[in-house]
Amino acid sequence: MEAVGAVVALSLVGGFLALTGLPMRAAFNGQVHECLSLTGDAFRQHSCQGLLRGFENQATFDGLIAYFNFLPALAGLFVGAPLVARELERGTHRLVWTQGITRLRWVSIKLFLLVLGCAIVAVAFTAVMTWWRFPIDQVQGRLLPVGFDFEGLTPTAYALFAFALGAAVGTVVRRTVPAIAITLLGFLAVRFPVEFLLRPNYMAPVTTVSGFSATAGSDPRADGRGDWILQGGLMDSTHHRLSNGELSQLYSAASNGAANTKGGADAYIQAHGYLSYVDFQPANRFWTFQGIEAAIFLSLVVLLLGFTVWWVRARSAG
Amino acid sequence: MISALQAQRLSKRYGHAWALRDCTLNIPPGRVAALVGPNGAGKTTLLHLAVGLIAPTAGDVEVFGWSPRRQPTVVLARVGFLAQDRPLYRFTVEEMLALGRRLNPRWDDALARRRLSAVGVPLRRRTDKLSGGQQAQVALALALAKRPELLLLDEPAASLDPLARREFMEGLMEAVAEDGLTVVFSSHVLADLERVCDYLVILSAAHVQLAGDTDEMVARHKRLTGPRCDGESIGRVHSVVQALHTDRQTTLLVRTNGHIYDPSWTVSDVLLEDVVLGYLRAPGVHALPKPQVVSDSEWVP
Repeated sequence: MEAVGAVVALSLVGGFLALTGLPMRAAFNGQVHECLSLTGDAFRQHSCQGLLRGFENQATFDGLIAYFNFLPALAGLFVGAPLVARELERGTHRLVWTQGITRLRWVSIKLFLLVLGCAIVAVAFTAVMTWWRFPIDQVQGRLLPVGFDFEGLTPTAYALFAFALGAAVGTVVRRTVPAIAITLLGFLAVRFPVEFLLRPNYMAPVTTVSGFSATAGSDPRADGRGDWILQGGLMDSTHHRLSNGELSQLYSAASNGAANTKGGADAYIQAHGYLSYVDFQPANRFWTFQGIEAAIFLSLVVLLLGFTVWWVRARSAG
Repeated sequence: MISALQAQRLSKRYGHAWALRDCTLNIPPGRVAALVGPNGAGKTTLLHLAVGLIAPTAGDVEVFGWSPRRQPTVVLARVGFLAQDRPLYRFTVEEMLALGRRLNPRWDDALARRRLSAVGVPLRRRTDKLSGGQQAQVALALALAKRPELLLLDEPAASLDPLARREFMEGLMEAVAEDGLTVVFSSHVLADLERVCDYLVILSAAHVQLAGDTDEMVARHKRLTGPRCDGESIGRVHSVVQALHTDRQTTLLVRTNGHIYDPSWTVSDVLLEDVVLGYLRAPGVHALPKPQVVSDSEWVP
């Protein structure tokens, strides 16, 4: 049943990616592609900023693709969680654990083969996602979560983590449905904090500071395509970063002062020595970050698999 | 001689409740032993301990001298186990055989097929589409194709209709006759016992009440009928298992300790079923003083 469900889900995903991926390529292989090689005035002349924005908005399906983050969890919900729980629930463990091979061997072989299976499916999914995202990667890079979570090593690491978590939970909980629910919660409880709290700090962010300029917008980087921007704002001449309160004070002072200053509020801010800053992770850290994140999840996989094997071998199950 | 199944003060506790307590027994090889007792007496617990599904809280259990938990490879290769309600995967019978082949180093495929075709089980059908009797035959064929030296069966015939039960027990006895394997099965169908088993273990409230060779057990127990009395004088030499009183008459089930000389009693033989029922109705009887040990059978206090 679960296998059928998984095949259907993956076929739907594959179908969706094929149906949207081909038009996306067609849209990309025109002016958008040209814009990527332009800089400076030429970039501005072709109104590339707008073209790229438009392409991003149209092509990326951000809202929908976010749900794809649940796909690796399926390995835990439908393969991992029932693995031992279903046996205990139906009493078939009394059949299979009293055959000629020990249950230690039984569980080791099962885990090994299923880890292999999940890895193969996850790698295939990654390959399709990487093909699908290729045009988007040219525009926005792949260090942003929407790219990072679906390319390289991470999808496979997530899927194996979900599988190992499901297997461990199912072994302890002994009921398939509660095990599935707990596995989903557990998966999210690790996956989100790692993405939001740990990943931005795998390496110290790079900070770029420049003079405040309204025309350059808030981004002081020369060429920041593909960087993962963590935060940005204003700092005063002593490099003190302004809090929100200080910012609104500054803005009201600027609009008051603008009356007396030539060039308006922007000129006021510039004149008073305020600077723009941006904290970001450079695009070229993609593989380092992939390695770190995969290592985190794969260590959890090893721990959980070891725990499952130990529990199956050592605990009573009458 | 190494026992097929030996337990030394074997105990299993779940929370505060003892499922089995201080169980000591010794089933010699080559026997067909029945494990009887009311529900919750510890029959399933004892079998699960013997096959290593659960670990004892205290005491030891050994199968041909090996521990099922510490030496599972050795024990599992020698033990066939048929769990209660005959768990099977929702596979075809053919696929179940393939599973057995893969999970057992000593697997006798021909034996399984011979047995299944003899009882007319269709190999292409899925196990959940089979009748209860056929499922039991599949489970038995799987257990026997392992070529076990000890076969443990947990209520194998319960929930089967009388015909299927008879067929099942016959199949089982055939296998015993062919291979001389030791069998331990739990049952509460007393009618099966006399025909089938030659060794009996009575469990009650987590304790072993009585264990031993059935012939000796039958020979040692007598029914005493006489004028109404409290049976105290007879109880000084022999052990009164059960006493029934009418207005004028007293009938005793007695475990004898030698000859009965008192001429006021009429002594008659009993059936195995009478012995079993007598003990099951008197779950406290195992607390009697320990009688002398008779050869090859153990009387457990």
